[in-house]
Amino acid sequence: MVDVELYELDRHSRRPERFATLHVNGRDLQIDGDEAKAREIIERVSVPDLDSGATLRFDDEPERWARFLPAALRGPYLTATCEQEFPTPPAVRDLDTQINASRT
Amino acid sequence: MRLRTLQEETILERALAHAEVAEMELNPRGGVNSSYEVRLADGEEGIFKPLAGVDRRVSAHYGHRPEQSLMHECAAWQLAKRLGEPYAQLVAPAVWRDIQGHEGVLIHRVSGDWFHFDRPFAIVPDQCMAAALFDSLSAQQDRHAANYLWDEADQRLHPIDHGYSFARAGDPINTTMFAAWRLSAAPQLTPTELNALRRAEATGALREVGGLLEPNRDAYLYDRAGLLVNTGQLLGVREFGNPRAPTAARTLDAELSDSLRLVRPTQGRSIDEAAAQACVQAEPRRSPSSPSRGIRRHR
Repeated sequence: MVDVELYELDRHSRRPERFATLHVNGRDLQIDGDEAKAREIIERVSVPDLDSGATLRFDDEPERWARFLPAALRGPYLTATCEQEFPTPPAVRDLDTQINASRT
Repeated sequence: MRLRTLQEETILERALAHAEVAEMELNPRGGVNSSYEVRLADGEEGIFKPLAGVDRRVSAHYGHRPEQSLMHECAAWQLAKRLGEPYAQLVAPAVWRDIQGHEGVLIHRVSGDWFHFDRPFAIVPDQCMAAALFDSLSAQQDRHAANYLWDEADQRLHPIDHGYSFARAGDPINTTMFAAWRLSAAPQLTPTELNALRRAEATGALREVGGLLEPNRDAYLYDRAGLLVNTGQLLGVREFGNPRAPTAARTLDAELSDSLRLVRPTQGRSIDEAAAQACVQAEPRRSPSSPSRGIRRHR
């Protein structure tokens, strides 16, 4: 089971807003949120399989495609997060802490 | 550093490189590569990608060190700038700079929206043709449907995210939509495109961009330019990082066929019709073809 959250940058606030969450279990897919937009991503975006090096379409291996979707939607306009596959690395947390600290 | 000089050539580049940062905010769900929304004191806006925020795993997959992936944003802009229009309109200016003690790349914000995947192919096929050539020359490794913006008001296409480009032999290619689209119907380069490539080589512009790349990566750029000029055709994906002698019969690679399934132009035109029409629009007056000056092969 893989859960992937999809975000798009809000045009006014310039902050990411979640528009859908994909729940993929094997070949089963459940979409919470804006299904039309989520379907566009599912049908159009191929992703790199970081383990095998192959290119994956959703129909190839849905759960694996979902795991690696964040590697394709790297941002900042359309992004995906999957904590199971891409937990926020300490380096990024540290960087934000440093930059925030330097602003105060 | 050579880039420091190259990115001083335009007013906008100088502003991006030197203007004081007025506001800077982390994009909290900015993707595996962390990014910051930046507003400069002079009002310009950009996206800052810090070196420390590059996802090492994705970078390694595409065959790049993190600093290379950011440098390639700059190199892509320098390449587009040197090729001139329409490429300089397609690619957003990007400069290397330090912000609050962190090195990274600041990319000028371009206007445009996402989720308009088919509009560029239907409305501005000439810009899609140019994007195809640019992605072919720069060996773009990941031009999927979410890696371009569409500005409806100005009718402009903006390919984004050039970090994973300038591929070498064997580097993975995820997908390349514009090249796939153009290869399917109009792979021939126009005289204007050929002249732009020849000019970039003859003036040393290609070498200037190559100087921003790793020593063994620049040669592939020169080879791709040579192959494009000598064959007069767009490169297939397998040729992005692995130039070979031109063949008489060129077939679509399996990867390209796969990419092509992702493109669904609207307005009742097939992709073949749209690309063919773009070819005509791009070259209203065809000048007599001149013999290829044969860009040198560098390996």
